[in-house]
Amino acid sequence: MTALETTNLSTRSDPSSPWWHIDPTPALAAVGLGLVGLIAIFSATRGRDEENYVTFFIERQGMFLVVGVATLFFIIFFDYRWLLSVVHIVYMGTIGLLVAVLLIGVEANGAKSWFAFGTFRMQPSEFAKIGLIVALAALMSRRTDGPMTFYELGFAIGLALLPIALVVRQPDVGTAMVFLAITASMLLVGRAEAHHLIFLVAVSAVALGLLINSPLLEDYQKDRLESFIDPTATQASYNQQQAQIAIGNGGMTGTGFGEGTQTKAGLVPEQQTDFIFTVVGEEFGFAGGTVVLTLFGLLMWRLYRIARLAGDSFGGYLVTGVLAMIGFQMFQSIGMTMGIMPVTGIPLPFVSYGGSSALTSFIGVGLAISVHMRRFGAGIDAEVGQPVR
Amino acid sequence: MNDQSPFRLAMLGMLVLGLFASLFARLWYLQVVTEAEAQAQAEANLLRTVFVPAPRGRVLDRTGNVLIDNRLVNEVTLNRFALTEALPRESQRKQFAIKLAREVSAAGYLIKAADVEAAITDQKYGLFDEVPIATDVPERFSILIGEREDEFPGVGVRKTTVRFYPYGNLAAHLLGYVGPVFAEDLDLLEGHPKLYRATDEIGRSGVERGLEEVLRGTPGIEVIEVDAAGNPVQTVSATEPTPGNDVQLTLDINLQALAERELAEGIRFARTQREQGINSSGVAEELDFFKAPGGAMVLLDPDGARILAMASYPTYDQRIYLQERIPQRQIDLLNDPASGAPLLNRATNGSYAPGSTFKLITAYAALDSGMLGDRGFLGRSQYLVDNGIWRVPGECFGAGCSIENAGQKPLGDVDLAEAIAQSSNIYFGQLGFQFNVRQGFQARQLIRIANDFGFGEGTDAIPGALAGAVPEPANAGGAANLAVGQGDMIATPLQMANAYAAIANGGKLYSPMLAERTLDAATGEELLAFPERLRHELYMPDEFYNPMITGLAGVVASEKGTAFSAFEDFPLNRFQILGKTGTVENRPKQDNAAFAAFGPWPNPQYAAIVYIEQAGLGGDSAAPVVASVFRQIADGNIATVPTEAEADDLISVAEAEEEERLRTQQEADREERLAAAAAGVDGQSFEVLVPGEESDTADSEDPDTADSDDADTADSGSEPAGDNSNLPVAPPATVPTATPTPTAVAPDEAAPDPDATEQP
Repeated sequence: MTALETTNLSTRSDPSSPWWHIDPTPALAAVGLGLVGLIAIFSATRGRDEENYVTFFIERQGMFLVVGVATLFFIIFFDYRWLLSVVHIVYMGTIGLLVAVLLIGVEANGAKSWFAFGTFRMQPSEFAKIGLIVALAALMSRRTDGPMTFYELGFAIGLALLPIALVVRQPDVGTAMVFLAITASMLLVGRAEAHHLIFLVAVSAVALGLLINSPLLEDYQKDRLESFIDPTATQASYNQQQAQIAIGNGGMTGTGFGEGTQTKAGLVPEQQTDFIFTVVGEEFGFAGGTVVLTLFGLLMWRLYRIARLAGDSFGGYLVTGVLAMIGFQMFQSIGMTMGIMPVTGIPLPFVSYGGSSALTSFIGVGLAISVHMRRFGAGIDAEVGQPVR
Repeated sequence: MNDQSPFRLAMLGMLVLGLFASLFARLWYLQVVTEAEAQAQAEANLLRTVFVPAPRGRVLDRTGNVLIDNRLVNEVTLNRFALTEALPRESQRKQFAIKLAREVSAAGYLIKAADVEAAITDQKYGLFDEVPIATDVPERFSILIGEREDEFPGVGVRKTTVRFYPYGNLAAHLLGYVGPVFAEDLDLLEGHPKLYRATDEIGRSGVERGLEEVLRGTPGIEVIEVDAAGNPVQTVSATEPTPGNDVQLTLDINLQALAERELAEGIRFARTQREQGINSSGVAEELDFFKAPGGAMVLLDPDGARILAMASYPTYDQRIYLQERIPQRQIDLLNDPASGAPLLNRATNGSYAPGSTFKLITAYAALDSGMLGDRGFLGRSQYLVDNGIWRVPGECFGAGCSIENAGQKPLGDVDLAEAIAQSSNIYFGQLGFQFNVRQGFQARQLIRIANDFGFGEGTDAIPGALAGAVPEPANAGGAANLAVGQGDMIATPLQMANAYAAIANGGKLYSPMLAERTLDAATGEELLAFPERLRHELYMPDEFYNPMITGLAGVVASEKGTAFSAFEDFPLNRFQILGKTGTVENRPKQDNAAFAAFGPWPNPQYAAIVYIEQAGLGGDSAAPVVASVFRQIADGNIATVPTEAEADDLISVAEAEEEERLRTQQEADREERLAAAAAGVDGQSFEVLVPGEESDTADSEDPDTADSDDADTADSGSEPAGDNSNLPVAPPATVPTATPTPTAVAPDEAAPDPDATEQP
């Protein structure tokens, strides 16, 4: 009993305090992935000059990680339910940024996806993922009784389609696919009716078919999709081929840090970002790949658990969205390097080089931890002015 | 409380779990199951193995004339990797193929866009290989490509060697050609020290094939480390290419040209003759012209059976195999029996019955076995009555049951020498019959002697040469037939010539040889001398040899001899020829004509056979060809064959002289005409041009016998780019008997051969 009494003395020992319920595991997994990413990025970007390695990329990425962790820490102080009061601003802001990037953004790799601030670049479509998750979660948690009506479903889809359309306009089909995955997962977990969902799947399949054959897609995008269907054809399939050889070259224990011949020879493109997993696979082998997959597995498992245990449906949907976002990006990015997904430029969360992506992922995890901390919700609802559900 | 459906969330969880499982499985598959494969590929990605081709050795004749040489040409190549980098879309590459084909064709080498596309996708070549598109493009094309690099990504021009035949299509069958390695051969060549690859060339026929081991060089191998863009970083290892070795043949190109020319001449002459027949009422009558679709001539040195010349008619132009892609039409034409199947080397692969030329083997078998001897059928010099027709006694069915002489001519009393000289079928048919029926004798004895003379046995001097067959006769009639060289027996002209070479040298049967020695390509030093290969030494005492020689001499010299007329004017006193005619029944077709001979007796240096399909009597059609060849040898009057380049020079000299002559004549004519006009005579102006016209028609020559020109059959429509279409016709046709002075090479030599007209 004395032990219980001593714990009662601090905030941390108060069972009603959110801090009593903190789950640090997802944050630790995310940081672990970030560190693996730092090593892989350094290997991919340090260059051939042994006297004078390029450190620009890891310095930047290290900074992004620090900022990311700090943001995460900052977020967990806040109650996620506060977002419900600003959801309109969040959504409008998201759309505003996506429109603005089309107007004043800078182009790279054929897509107008970035704002440039001096040497820094910001990719609004990354943050828009969080915006979409928040908006959909808020919409779907507005009513708790009965299944979603057709109208509600249509509204949710409309809410999702607007940013998707803007991202496709950049054009950045990869990110648009993440948006789709988020929306689909949230609708699946939400109260949408099964026959509505089946109908949706059918409609989107037809839409995808039309999209591939429409002039909306750039040639290189079609090439990538075609090469996934017919892998003997083009440049994209060549990249993918080389990526797979790189991973296979790693074998059980890998070639060792900086020794990956496939990646060092530049046979794999974009290896510090979208194809980062080839560096891990080649240089650290099956062992290294397993570590990355295990960390992701840990993260997914905790996110799933948080979604299950969430104190309200808003939190549950929120974490479901984050789970879908990180899960889909992981599967797409790693699967692409191993030839089981088409080549689309999607970064591997926490691991790939890139500030916007890292920050977005950390925000997602931060929101999840915040949901978990406040799952019992005592006394907080009044604070944010929401009725208790 | 959370209103999410736990079931729905679990579905999402299961989905995520499934994704994990698939990633994990795929990772396992890539890194553990197929690890070795990927590692090999990763290594291959960084190391490019470049094969530096080694030039093939040259082929020389026995006096050192180069028969097959190498020529340095420009080759247009395509780097697929660079192309697909620059033009990722299929439609772009289609456009590119059309553009490149147009450019290359404009430079003088005709290719189609489809050819370029085929090269782009050719599975034989690796991703980083340079795929050849066109060879032998002019220098200016490489300059053009260098200037317009951006328009033609991946296209390059490099130097390469191609085979070059200084004497055109002379000895085409014998020399053969090179071609790509077939996939099935490549498996056999796995691990060969000379490193064959799918893109290599290999000797496909003739000397090129038979001496492939000598001629082929060993390619050099450079292993280069490259970066991702394919740019070389450093050379890891390099071995120099080793050129192939030269080969000196036993062949004499001048004799070869002589043989080809005389054979063609003889065949042309045979076609002007009519078959003689006897109609149902027993009256002699003239039948159709002889068809004489083809023939062969072999000239051997009896010492070691060295092949001095080997001609097969009709011949073809082996240069069509220099083309990158040979039109199927041409290949069909080369194999078409209607065109005489020019690709067939009749000297080594014609399957013929030897006819009466085989009687010498029967004679030797009879002498050796004792059939002609004290306890045999006849004494060695005993006479037998030849009534012109003889039936196998007893019941007999099938071929050979009735043996008759040519024209059923009764020859009276004949001994062995007479029987040879007059070609008595009755005498030899009965010998054959006796082999089958006589106590203590067997038809197999005859077959074994035939084998000892090389019949039914292959030769490795010529790859793919026919072994022929001497089958066991089924009955007495068959044995009689075999003894006169008829029936089921199959022999090649080379085998017949070799058997006579063995008789000429006193019974030593050698395996025919074509390669004399190998030479170092750079220094010309002898590396290896091929030995003569004695296969059998036949027991040949004088009592066997003398009657045979007497008989053979009689064939040519005796008035009753079957080849007497062909050698009537021949200087036999200083160059004595011994020979044997053969007239081979070939029903339902016309008879084949054969003549085997050697000389000069008593120290024979040449053994020869001429075998002409469907040309009647051996003494009428084949013997004159041998006589003509031997006459030129006897007179020391063998024309030196110019190479094509030399022939071109000679022709242009001749043309210049002809032009000069015409010009002076025209001037003379003009003066004459002016004089005539001055005299008031008119109307002659039309004829002024006649001399010029005459020479024009003479130039284009023999319109009706066009198919008999030895180069023509292969030539029609076969020239790749139509560049030098006049060449194949030039050397054999334009080099007459005399030394090649310009005047001797006047293009119009349509007059029939004097030897031919001598024939009764």
